[in-house]
Amino acid sequence: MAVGLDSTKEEGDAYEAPFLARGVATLIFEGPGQGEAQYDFPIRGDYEVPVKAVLDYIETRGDLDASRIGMWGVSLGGYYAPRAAAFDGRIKACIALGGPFNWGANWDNLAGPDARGLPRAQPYPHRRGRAADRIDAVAGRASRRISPARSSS
Amino acid sequence: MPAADAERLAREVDGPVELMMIEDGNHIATNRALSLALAKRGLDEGAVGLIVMAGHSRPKDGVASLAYVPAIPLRGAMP
Repeated sequence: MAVGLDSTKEEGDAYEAPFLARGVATLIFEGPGQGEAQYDFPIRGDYEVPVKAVLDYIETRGDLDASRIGMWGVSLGGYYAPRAAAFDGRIKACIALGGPFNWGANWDNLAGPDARGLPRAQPYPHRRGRAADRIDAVAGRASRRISPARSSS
Repeated sequence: MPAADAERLAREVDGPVELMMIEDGNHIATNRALSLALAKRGLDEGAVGLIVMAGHSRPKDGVASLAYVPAIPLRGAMP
């Protein structure tokens, strides 16, 4: 489970609950730029790199079925998750909740004054073939993080 | 994030895809999650006062900080 921009794994409690209730094991982690990891690892667009490490770890766990891994991501994690699925075939299903398609294209329209002038995120890389066996894309149309009228995609 | 981004993702995915658009949802649609959770308990938002969704209580001012603002998981706040 991938959290958003500078979010933390501790914030995922409410999101993990529905999976646990259905008997799905969860592993929520902090990647570069997130939570405790941000002090050692700066944010990076190629999030498939830390995800590979997570998947490698899952494969060491005898109590988990590594052939049935799904990846969920929220907010910027909703960008990270499909991206990782595009790079690593071990991800069989994916949920992107409220993620950008091309964060860089929306960068200047982010709510708040702090975003302007910072490095731009990379768009999805062009990848051939299936990203995952299944992808769910979820979004709220009334989002105000970026004004729909001002966005570009 | 604009809903159009999710629509574009759904269009460009090569393989089975399902787009779930929450028409009155905010960013990541937590407003709908709260409303649905309360409705399941026969409550409205005014009846339970302030509920802080886990993960969305910190100021998003772009400043990294360990000074976490305590977040209250929604299910823990339910009567």
